[in-house]
Amino acid sequence: MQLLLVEDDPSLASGLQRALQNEGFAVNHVATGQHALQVVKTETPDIVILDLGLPDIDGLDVLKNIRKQQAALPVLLLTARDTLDDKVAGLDTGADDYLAKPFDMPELLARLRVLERRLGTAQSNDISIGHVSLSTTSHEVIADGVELVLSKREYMLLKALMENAGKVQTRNSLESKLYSWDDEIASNALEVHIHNLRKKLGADYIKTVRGVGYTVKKV
Amino acid sequence: MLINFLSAVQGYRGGMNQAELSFDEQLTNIAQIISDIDSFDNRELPEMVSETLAYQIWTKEGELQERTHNAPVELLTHLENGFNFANFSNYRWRTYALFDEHHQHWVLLAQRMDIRYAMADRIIVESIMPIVIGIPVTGLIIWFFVGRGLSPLYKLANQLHKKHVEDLSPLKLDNPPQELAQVLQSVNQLMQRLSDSVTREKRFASDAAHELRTPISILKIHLHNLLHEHPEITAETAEFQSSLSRLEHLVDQILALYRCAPDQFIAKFEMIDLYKIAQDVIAQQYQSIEQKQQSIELLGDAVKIKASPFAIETLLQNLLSNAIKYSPEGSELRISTGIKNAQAILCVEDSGPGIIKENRAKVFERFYRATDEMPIQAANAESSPVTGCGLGLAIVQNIAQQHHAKIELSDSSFVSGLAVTVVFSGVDE
Repeated sequence: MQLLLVEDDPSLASGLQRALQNEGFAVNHVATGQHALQVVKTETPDIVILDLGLPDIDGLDVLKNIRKQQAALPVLLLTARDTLDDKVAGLDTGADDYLAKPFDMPELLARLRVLERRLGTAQSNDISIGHVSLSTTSHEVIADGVELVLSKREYMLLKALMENAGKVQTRNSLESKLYSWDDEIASNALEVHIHNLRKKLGADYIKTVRGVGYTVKKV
Repeated sequence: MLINFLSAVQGYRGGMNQAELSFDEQLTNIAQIISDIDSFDNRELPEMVSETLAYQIWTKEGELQERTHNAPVELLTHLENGFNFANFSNYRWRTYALFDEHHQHWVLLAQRMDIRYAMADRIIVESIMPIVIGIPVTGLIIWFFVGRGLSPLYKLANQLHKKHVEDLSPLKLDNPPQELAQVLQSVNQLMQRLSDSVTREKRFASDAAHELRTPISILKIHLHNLLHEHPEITAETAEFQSSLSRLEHLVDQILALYRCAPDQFIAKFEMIDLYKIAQDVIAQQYQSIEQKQQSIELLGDAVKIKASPFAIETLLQNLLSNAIKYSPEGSELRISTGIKNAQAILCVEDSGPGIIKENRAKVFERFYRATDEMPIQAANAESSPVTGCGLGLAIVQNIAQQHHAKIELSDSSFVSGLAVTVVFSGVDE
């Protein structure tokens, strides 16, 4: 997995580079927007980590330019700006994800893994939490060594919960992941799927946070 | 106006006196003429004048030689040169007696006073009338034009009056008069300077954010690498880690406080759902809740209010992180939303030590920490030291003020703990 790190602060860049290399990523580092655009053109990376505060070109303009060249290249924004407007502007311009400084390394790694899985080129496409493991390529779900038969929606629901293990997924965000705009959603459809998943995975695997949503506990 | 009127009255009176004098002079002239005309037949006065004038001619011996038909047969005045007054034929007359040395007779002439008054009055009124009518007309005209002339000033005052506290956009006037254009220009220049300095300050906040956040990120990443490569020093770096978290939190809070201060924060109000924001905030902070094995529930229904989503999120983040911080491991937390007495309610309850009534007002001060007031054993009883920076509730207070909301502190419905209730003044169904 080839990462391009666009970051003007040398100390942060070197620390990040080392941390990412420790996790098995190959990291290329550039310090300017100009350089970044050149590298994207000549030796296109798999994922770009882009700091918005660059000395030469505004980060959002770099992002726009990258999008023109490589419409599908995943870009994760890294920035000290964290107001809601900044986030919306970043995602509107075509960023795949957005992380505000100062960030936790595990958080950055988790997000990179989501982007990696989306590319389908990850070395390991399995998410393993507790007694359940889920393969994002073969769509197989194995609990305690036994393969489970899940409906498409049950699989998508479980994947959303496992990818975000330790976090609560609100009902709204789960519903929007499961259904497209024109699908009719019965008001208790989500509960029905959760109920079915609990029957297959054990009652405690998916926890309800009353009034908020559901979570899979990170082990 | 009054002065004009008084001077008109004064003028009238002066005019009357002047007219009197000229009428008297006229009488002497007429008397002379009558006296000089030899033939009695020719002494006939024009019809019109004869009604208002009367005369007698008396010989020196006291014999009435001649009189006009409206003159009495007796002496109409004393035989004494000069002016006098007399009453006859139902009128009051001004009289003039002249002894003609040449003809050796008296000419007694009389003129009706009412006619004299009427004529004098007419002359003077005609000369004063234009002024008397002119004054109010002029007044109206002045009023109209001054009003018109001042209308740009009224418009300007109105614009200034309507201006929102944070609105620093320039004032606009169509075709302002020259004098006002100068004022307008100066005010707009002032506005511009003010707006520039506000922008600079905001810019400073965001620059400061960048300046502070990048070094913190650097510390974090290098600490992460250090721990990754030397897992055996975890214990030694624990203090480092927690101080770093405090620093990170403090920077966040200072920036949030700055961004949410009433004079800095231009809130973009929109329709938001308190329940949905509560869901999001719980989801954001769920990891901290999970870490302390606390359980949380969200009660209530969708409550729509007009508010700034960013501010309300910050408010709730602060309330919830306080609740997590001050509640022991494995305890319960609760957030509820609802409508009470037509007011939107947002309530966060924890299972912490609570705050005694006397100290409840103090918690809104900056840099006040509840642990400062806690009995030592209670503070020690906390399984992990509470690392607040004391800005949380000051931020909450700021945001509440912007939304005209009240904050009420009470006991939570758990065994112990604090309930913080934010009461919004309006609710939109």
